[in-house]
Amino acid sequence: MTEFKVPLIIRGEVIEDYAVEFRNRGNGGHTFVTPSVEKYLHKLIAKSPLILEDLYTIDFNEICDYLDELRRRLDLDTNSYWREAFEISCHFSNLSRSVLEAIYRNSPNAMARDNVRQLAEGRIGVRFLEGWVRTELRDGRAIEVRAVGSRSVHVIAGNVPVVPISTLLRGAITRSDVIVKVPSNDPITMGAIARTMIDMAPNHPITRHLSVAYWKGGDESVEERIYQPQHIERLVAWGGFASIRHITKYLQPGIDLIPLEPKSSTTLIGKEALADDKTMREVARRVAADVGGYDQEACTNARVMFLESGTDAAGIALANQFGQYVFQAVQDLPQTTSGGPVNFDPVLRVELESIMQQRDFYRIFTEKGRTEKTGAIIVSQVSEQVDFPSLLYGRVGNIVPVDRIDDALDSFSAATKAAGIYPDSLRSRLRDRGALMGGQSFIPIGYAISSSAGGPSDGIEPERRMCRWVVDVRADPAVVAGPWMHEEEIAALKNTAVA
Amino acid sequence: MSVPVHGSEDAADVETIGRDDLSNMVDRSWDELFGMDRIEREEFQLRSLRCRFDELLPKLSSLSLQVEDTGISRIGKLEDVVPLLFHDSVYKSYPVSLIEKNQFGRMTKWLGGYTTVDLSNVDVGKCDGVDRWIDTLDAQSPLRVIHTSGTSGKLSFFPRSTVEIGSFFKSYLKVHEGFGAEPGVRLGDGQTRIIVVNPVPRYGRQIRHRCFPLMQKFVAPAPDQLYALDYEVSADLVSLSGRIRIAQAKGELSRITLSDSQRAAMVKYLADLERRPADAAGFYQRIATELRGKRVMAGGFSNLLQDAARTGLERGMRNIFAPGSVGMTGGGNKDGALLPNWLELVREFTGIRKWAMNYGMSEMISMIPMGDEGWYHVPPYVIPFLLDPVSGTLLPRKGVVTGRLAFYDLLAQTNWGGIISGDKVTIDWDGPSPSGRKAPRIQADITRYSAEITGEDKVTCAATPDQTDAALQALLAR
Repeated sequence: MTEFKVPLIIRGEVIEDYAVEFRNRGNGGHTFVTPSVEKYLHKLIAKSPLILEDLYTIDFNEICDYLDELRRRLDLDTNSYWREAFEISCHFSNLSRSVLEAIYRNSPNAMARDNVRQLAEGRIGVRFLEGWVRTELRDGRAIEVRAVGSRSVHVIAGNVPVVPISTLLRGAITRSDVIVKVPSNDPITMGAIARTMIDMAPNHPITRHLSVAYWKGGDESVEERIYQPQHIERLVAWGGFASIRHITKYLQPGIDLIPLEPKSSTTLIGKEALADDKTMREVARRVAADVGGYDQEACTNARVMFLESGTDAAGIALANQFGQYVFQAVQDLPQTTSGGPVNFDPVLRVELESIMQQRDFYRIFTEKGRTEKTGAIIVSQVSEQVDFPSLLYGRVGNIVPVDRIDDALDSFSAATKAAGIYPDSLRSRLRDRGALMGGQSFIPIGYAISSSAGGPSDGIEPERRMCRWVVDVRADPAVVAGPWMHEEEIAALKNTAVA
Repeated sequence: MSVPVHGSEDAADVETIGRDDLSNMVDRSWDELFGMDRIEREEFQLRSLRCRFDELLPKLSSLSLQVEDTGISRIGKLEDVVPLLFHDSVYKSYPVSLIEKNQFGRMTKWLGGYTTVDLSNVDVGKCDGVDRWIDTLDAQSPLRVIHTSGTSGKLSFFPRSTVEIGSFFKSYLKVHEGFGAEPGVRLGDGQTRIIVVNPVPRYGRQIRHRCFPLMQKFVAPAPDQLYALDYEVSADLVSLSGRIRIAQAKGELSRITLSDSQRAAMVKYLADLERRPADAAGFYQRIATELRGKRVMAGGFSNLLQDAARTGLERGMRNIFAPGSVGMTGGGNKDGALLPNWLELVREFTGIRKWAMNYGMSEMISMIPMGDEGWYHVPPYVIPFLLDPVSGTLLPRKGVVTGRLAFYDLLAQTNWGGIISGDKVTIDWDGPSPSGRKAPRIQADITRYSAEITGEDKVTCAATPDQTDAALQALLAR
């Protein structure tokens, strides 16, 4: 049982008035104390949208400077907050220590100056963030458009601690006021970033627009008061069906939900992967990274994998061979990519043990007695997925042999986050139909956990949606006809225009 | 020695299976069963377990695979059986696509690995659904499959045979028998006849439906003196929403199609479900009038009985059944539906003082009766174990211990009786029982492990199953 403190941070102020204890019985159990959010709600709620004004006293370069300096300070060897977050995460995250260490060392790099500029430019356009962008219209009018920030609440996910950095980035580049509701499976990382910011630049507008709070998801005494259109304009919600559905009850005109919904990913492997033994082994190594990376805790991981091996006896034999290679390659992954999960879902273990005997239907590659550490590759012996695809965690993948890889597109849906496809030619061929079927990103096999930055996410552009897109219309009555004008006046205008 | 089980059969052309000595243990008195001290009990259990193991091993391919996997081929002491216990989910280890594609031949082959009943000559070629499949097995073999409610996903199928249904029936009624000087009545052997009242659906393929014909034959004074709700529980319908959830998780929702008749049946079933609490409440009001002053065996979920009692008492109905009536109840406290004084209300309304309670599950043939208040006593024909809920290691069999319940059920004669359940229970292994029963006893506050292990209030970006039935509703609206 680990015990620790989760301070409430409100716009540069660290509140350590610990009053509430939370116990989590899962994952070995941990307990933390945190101040009562309800008590400080009057401070947490930004009553006026003008609160954002100070963010407009700085320009984009200063935002980049700030984030770049913050990146430097999030150093595992010198920053005690960051180190503490890492050590505590090691106790209750389901990621292995080696993977966590790699994440805490590398994830701040997303805030490097050039990365920030690329993100802002690619997703929004820096000029829209910095000022009013003018477009001349054909009728003589002009519009000037600006992307301004919003007051936002972010209900973030805690399975992989890269979400806090991307949340901070989104808030900073859009000049938003950000309240982060941290989850019980990572209540500590976001706060460590906020405290580093306070030490670095206590009065900087970006520091003064980040709040970090934990309350139990669903606590109406808190949520009903925050989730009001006079207090927030954007609600960015990560999470499963239950949490998203629960949040939708607070929606009303004036609050825009940006859902980063529950997703799963799928993998399509064309027959080219089975061309010869050498290719099989190479592709298996890359597939293994998609299965095992981040210890399979992320939504981008491979879980169900369709393999164009054919479904006759020879095809199944080939699929089994490939499954064995993938299993072996998972064991050989670098520790910083995959160290094996801390806890293996006992429900999944029971499912695995229960189908172990069903050799007509499934062949399971694992190390007997050590499945919890090694994971497993289940090769279906008929062309059907296992009946528990949503339980596939802990480096457990299911290879499903198919006769035609195109048929696997049928399993795409609005919940298909990423599709890892091999070879590239197959991706080019399938991506149009795959996109229509619900696929949201197509990635080369092997890059599942390192493919997300820079592009749209979950089929939407959260950064653009966090902005409010304001238009200023310009029209000169000497040029543009107005509804108060009579026909002769308009005709005269037209003559002017022609002359 | 074998004694035929009477009357658990309707299909005349199917040979029933005889109950063996071990299964006949259920007929012994509680004094005898709860009179054994621990050494005597465990000697009996070890001897019986070896006997079951030796008989079943050559006939059950699932067991021989388990022996092969674990390397355990001999039972030296009771604990040796633990690695050979089956997780309850092995009884749903078939691919659900077999049902979707009507491949009931393969389903039968799968099931055949778990029973000694020979299914090789059963013809299931014409089956187009689970109900038809089970009915066909009924007609062509002594197998009497029971299924679970399957609301969470797949249906589990337990391959009982006529003999286990008979043993369950006996074990279920045995709770009414007294221990020592306690009053009680022996039911189920046709000697004492009593009207049976139980507001649950009358027809179906779950264990309670399997028992109703036996109740009619051996308990009710006449076959029409079994009062139940006139519904049928269809396995195909109860499993539909679960099957849809699985299809959704697999991205295969488009593969599920419903014929007009299936859709109509499902709509009717859902309407029945909605109406059922009201029907059950109305049922008791009707019964109260019709059977006033009669001796009955009354049953039902605790919340239903509570609601019936409150309505009845409001209308001035009190002590409606004759002295000598018995009651059996359980469950029903979901969402805290039960009032603190619910049992008092039920007693006052019905006039039945003693409400017996059994602890059991579809996975188990034996029922575990409540003796001391708040405690279920494990009869010698069940060998209980407690396992660590996560690692699965065996916990000590002494003192007061909480863990995942596993057991070997010696009343299983044609299938392997070893099961690891999902229940969290506390067992007092050897503490003295106020009533004098000698047995390990299980505390009544039994819960499921699922939520506790996975943790709460976690947010992840990865997919979690949709527990609403939006997809089902969409299919029905088509």
